[in-house]
Amino acid sequence: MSPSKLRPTSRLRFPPKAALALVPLLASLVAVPACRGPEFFEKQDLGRAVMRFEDDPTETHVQQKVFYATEGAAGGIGSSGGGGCGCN
Amino acid sequence: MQLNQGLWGLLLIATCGVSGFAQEAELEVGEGSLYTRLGLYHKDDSGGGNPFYDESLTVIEPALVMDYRLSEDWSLGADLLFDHVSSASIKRLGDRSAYPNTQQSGASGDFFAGATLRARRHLDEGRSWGGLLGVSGEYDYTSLSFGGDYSWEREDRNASFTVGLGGFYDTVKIIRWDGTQTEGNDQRFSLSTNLAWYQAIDGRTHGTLGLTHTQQSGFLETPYNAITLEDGTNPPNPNLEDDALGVEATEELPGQRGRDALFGRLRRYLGADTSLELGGRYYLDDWGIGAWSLEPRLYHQLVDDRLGLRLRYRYYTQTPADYWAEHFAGTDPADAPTFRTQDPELGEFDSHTVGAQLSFKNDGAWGFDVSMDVIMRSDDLDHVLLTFGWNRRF
Repeated sequence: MSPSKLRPTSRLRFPPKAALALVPLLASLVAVPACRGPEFFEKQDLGRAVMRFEDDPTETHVQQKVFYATEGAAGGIGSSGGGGCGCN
Repeated sequence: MQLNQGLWGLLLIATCGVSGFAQEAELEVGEGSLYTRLGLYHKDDSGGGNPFYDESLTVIEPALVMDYRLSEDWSLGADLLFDHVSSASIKRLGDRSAYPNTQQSGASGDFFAGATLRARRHLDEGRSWGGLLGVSGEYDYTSLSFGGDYSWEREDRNASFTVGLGGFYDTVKIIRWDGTQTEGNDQRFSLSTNLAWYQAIDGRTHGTLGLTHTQQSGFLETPYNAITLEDGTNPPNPNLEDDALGVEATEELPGQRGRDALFGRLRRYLGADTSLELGGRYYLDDWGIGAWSLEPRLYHQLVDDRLGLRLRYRYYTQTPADYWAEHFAGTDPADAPTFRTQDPELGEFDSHTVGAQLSFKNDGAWGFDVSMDVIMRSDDLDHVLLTFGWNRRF
């Protein structure tokens, strides 16, 4: 198609203000090492199916495939940081 | 543009280095687990992305991850994956009337295969270390990978910590956009360090926090990527969309890249078999790309522990690499900047993803899930992802 048909992309500012939404998330985790966390008898809800963090490894792979291979950023889905391929 | 299948495979290798081990930890001696998935992925080029190429793409991809607890001390695992890709770029390179020198036509350019072997030594109830070796490749590259990690879990299981290191050594066969391959092979090395922390905060809330740093060196271009030079006087080029007035030149990128990502997930149980998660990621690299994402998820058990529903939304945005431009002016590669790319992956865009998954479990012995995600991007390179997963214990 001709360049004139291109839909312009919005100009982004970085770091965007909305990224500040990450701060409470991260700070909440950074702040907790001082506390010991719940006692074992308080943790039954953490063991529920809807609370399990263990992802199906094949699903993580597919998610990485879609997002890492089509975005400029890598890292944070699963634990890999990217790298190792015939691409950049 | 052909999607970077190699990255996918090696990301699985790296991912299973940690997440796969997390599955192993739950296995009893003599017990194993098998995860399989069939993914169907389609990228639609609705006139977006690189203005000079059709970047539509379809991928069919089976994947298999197996783990087995050999003894109290040892676990073993293996990953196998395979991709079949049909893309506009493959068709383009296969057109000998346009590119008489092309070598891709008839080659296995649309297949990727990879395999990884993993082992884990359990030192005691809370500590373990693991290692992996992998190999993958397709028609234009081979990659060897290695990795290792050490994990420690607090005695009360309220916190765990993992540190990992992974490396990739790639040999890239340089096949350019027009099929010429007079430059031989080149190498690329990637080294990635990972830190991951899990913390139970209270009886209803827990989260993870992670950090990765990846350093890459060597041939970091995607060899078949080209830029198009325009000055309005070039003749119509039949190899470009709408016979645009342009000439191609190779993509050129620096030989070093450092990448950092900080990410976390926080999940809280809301009652009535429902939980809410907020995930986020912040990314920076020294090519000038900055990115962040926010991803809320809602989990709900529809039928006890058997049928579960997951809904999610993801917002992602990134700034472009310093070397990216939508258009380049000129008639000769010497007119272009030393480093240049038109790869939409390195450009500026944002995206919205909505998805749903239904999962079924049968008393923990086996289960399956179906999911669908729709990704809408500001550069019109929208995606649809369908997957079907099946797993069982044995």
